Amino acid sequence: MSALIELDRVTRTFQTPAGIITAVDAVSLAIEKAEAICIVGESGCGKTTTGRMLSGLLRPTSGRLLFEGSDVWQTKGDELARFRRAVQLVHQDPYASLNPTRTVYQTLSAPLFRHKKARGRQQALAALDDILRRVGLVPPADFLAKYPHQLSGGQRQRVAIARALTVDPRVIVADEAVSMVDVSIRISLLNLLLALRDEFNVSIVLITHDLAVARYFASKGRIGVMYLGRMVELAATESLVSDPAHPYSAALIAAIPEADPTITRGKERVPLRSAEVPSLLALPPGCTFHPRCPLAEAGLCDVKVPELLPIPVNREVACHVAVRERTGAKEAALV
Amino acid sequence: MPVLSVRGLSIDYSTRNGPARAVRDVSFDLEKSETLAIIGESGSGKTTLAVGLIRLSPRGAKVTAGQILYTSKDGVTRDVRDFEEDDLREYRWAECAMVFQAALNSFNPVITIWDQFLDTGRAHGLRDSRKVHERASELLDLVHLDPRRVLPAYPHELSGGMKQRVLIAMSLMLDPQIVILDEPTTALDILTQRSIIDLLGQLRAKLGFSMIFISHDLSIAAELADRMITMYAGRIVEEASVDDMFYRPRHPYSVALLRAVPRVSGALGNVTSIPGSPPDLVRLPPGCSYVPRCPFAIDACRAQDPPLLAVDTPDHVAACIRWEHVAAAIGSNAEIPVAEKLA
Repeated sequence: MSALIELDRVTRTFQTPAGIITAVDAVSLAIEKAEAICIVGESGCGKTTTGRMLSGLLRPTSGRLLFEGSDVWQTKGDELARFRRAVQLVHQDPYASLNPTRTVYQTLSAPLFRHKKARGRQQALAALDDILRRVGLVPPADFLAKYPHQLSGGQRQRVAIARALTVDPRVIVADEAVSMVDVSIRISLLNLLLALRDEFNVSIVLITHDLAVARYFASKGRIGVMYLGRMVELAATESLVSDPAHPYSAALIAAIPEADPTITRGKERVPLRSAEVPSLLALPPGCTFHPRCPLAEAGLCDVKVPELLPIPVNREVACHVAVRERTGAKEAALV
Repeated sequence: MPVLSVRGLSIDYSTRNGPARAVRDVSFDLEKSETLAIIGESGSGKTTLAVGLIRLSPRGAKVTAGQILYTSKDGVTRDVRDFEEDDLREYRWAECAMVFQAALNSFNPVITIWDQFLDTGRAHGLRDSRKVHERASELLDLVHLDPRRVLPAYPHELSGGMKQRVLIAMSLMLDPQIVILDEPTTALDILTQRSIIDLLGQLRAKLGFSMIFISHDLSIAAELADRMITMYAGRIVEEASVDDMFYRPRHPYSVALLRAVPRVSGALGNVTSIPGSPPDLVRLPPGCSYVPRCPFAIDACRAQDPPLLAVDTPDHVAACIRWEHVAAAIGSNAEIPVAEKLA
């Protein structure tokens, strides 16, 4: 099955006053139709830049963005417009992403008119009645005349999701879409996104720093872990959280404080050799995690950049040591 | 003898529509070297309470009732509400230090870390800059930062985790008995969160101060708290030891909060958001204010706001007349999280 949307070895550099930084370095990611996938990582890992390239807002310095097999940055006119409608972004901060001087009706009807999905107020109202019901803002009539300041954080985020839905998207990229809403309602927003995926077969890419949120959201999908611009592990969610292959994924999972006193106080830590995160301006040679990695081998990890390679079962990892041990282990088991 | 004893504290905000009852009749004790976590949604009154404890409430907030009894290092107990300006200055950093939620913005951006230490020292009568330097270096060592690198730096030159460490170091400068931390790990990366939590645990063991955490993040409570308080609509609705709260909660709101948080380790269980939203604090419903969102509610819940009742053990209280029904649904076995029990 060919992917719906795909990043093919995309790299993105930025010019900063202190020099050129590589925010994303040769990342490949193929997303299927109706897939729920999460990209996780700490600040500066390139997850937001990856999301912006995926949604076509940022042109890769090198590499390709493919949508239904065609190179998006080589298309124009109607085909490009089709891509623009097909991929929608939901931003982190619903306080900043909605225009405060526009009512919900104004915010949501604009894309309907722009993309000729509705002609006139009556058609727009009918379409919005349906969309607002789907995102749980009921009764819709109560919300259409409201301004963002009259809504709670959760309601605003629902409006932002409704806006993405106005153009029948195929892919929604949600960048930290639940991190600014109260803990008590995060799950309901994630459930809303998952329900939309089921109902409309839309693929959803959730970008988050919170592995617990990622685990819940992509419980039947995949999680990609990024570190300093590279994808270091990509695996089915349950195998990633229960048996991380990359030492960085393992360190993250071992470090997460959990909402359970017995589990969290009894966690076995992965000791890192250094707490310092290298600067993007001066990345270490070879594997960028090697100065902190407990498994690092001199002469290998500090020299050669590890590729993201398949290991059993159905997962990929960018680590010389993990690839050697996990593929070796499988061969040994077969003998 | 508790170091801090809050009795019947109520704080209102004046609004155009009348007083918003942000904190209602709150009582609790904080023992020496104890760590207390106060949890609740935004708008539950936890930050208003914390800021009220050091009398830094914003204009428009009014303490309408209650006492904040503080027992100083020399054993004298006084009501913080009676303090004059001088007493307050002493109390605020030397006795009870607060690390604020917007921690990453709580530095003056145009002066170095050293000058921030010096300013704080001066405001509290430490005029000998050599002594301040010694103390600052000692504290930065304690929070695992290199004083030679950090003291001459400006805030923007430090990472988020380093700034949080500096703030913790500064809060300890005058050797306070109580440290209040408002969302101390929010907005930090995972590995940084972990190092801050471990650091707070080490400092508490070494220096023996009492801590109050204000957080919507249950994991920091699970890591560090001895006791926990759940707040809803300005009231304490449950108070319990950390294990009782996590494994045997008796107030439906505590149960709902615990169920709303997914985990990375162990079974996922039946995670669910809390339906509805918190009540308007200007027009609180009669009776228990959680009724509109509560799956256990009956007519009697609407008649009267329930008092805190002893449940299971004398140290465990919950403001719910239906707590036995909650107990029947949750059970009493230890170490099985709520989300799994209800799965």
